Amino acid sequence: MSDKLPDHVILLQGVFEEGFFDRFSGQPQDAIFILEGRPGLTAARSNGRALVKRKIQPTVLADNMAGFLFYKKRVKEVWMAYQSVYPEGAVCSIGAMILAVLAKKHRIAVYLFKGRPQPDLMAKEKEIFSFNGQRVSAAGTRGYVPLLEWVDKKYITKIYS
Amino acid sequence: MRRSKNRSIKESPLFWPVHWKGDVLSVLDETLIPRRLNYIKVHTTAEAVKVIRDMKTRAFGQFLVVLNTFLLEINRHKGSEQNLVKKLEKTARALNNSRPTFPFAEVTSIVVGWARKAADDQLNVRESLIKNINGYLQGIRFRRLERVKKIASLIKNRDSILTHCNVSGELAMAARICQEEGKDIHFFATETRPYFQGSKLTAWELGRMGASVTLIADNAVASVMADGLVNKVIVGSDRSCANGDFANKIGTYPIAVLAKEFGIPFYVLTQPSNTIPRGEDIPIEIRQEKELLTFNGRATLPFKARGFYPGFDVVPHEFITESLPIDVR
Repeated sequence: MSDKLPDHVILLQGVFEEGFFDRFSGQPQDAIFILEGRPGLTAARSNGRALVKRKIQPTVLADNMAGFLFYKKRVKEVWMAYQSVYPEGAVCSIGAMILAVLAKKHRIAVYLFKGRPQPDLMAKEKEIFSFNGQRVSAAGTRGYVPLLEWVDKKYITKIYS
Repeated sequence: MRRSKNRSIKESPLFWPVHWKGDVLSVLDETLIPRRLNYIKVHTTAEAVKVIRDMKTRAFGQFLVVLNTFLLEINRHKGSEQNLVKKLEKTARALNNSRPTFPFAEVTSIVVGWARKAADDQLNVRESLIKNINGYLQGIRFRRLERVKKIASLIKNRDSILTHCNVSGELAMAARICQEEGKDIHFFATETRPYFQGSKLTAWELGRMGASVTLIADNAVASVMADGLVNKVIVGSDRSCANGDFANKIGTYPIAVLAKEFGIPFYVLTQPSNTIPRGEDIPIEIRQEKELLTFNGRATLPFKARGFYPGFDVVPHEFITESLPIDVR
């Protein structure tokens, strides 16, 4: 991708249900950015496949790169996948809270949609020791790999159930 | 057990990753850590630019490569003093263009200034520069060691510190001092995609120094803050502005915003500069998408995707609790 960022990026975070992606017909192709979703890149794989199937080529970001788009004032909306909703907020995929806080700071809307079921709260620590089949950390390193986190309602604009 | 003031600090290999082996510059290849410690031999400016551009060395290592490349060219030079000055000006230009976000020109201009002044004053340019550059490096070394002690004093017993990317040895050495002082502390290191400086370098060197460290994915930073697992953030910086804004590895800005949201103090190691007025003025290097979409020679995703890889984040100064500066000017 060139250095030129689209002006109105839609950021997708978490793993959405297949049918969710039908809403993207008619969207400019270069405006949909998806986050990788460590440890297994499940979000990028699942969301990316669904978009490509609909002839939309998303732009992939590492999980730590969304802040740059907010700082450059290029984010139009944040769409996040949730696992369960409550009156006080929602349980979402890990990484959701980062976007929620950035969105609040930059006054960007956050919309939640039902995500694919993710039953595990934590992954095994070894999931963080490797990437794409290669060990990246030294032997003896400890890991902490939460897969879900709480997002308080004060960060959420609207939940689509 | 209190640490003696005169006792030397155990050094991390990342603290001073460039050495001389005879007439050849040896640069620690950080991309091979933690598998092995290997040094790349650098003989010319072109090779020095390559190790910087290919990110074989980064952060403070780059700074050392830049300064020592001048010594390399001085050692190699066979011609006149006037031609030496011209050669060093050419060397400076090549180094300045190696990575756009880094203020190499602030350092290369000092060296070129010394060379020109020595020539104007009809001094021996070679001898004058060797003395000045080595003296400058010694000064930086001393100031970094002083900052290591300051970091250690900032860290209190039972602190749990979040860090991002790698700060070239200083945090690990501070952790060692804290350990010797009997402080019970813990670190959370983000893995720092896409190059994994956190996994490969920070978790490795903290572990080597006997520190307690846990690796997390970049997407878990809010979780560890929200759950009260960290009470301090300490990061480095790659470039500073006159107003106190700074640039650091991508991922630093969200951490700063989150730290403020959760009331967690945010500390940054800086190199003050007045060259750039504000954060918005820092040129941010956008790296090739393949560096994000491939790893170990293989694609990370099973479909054709575009990638966007900004190398750095800018953090406005209002997010900083305290800066720990070293003046390199």
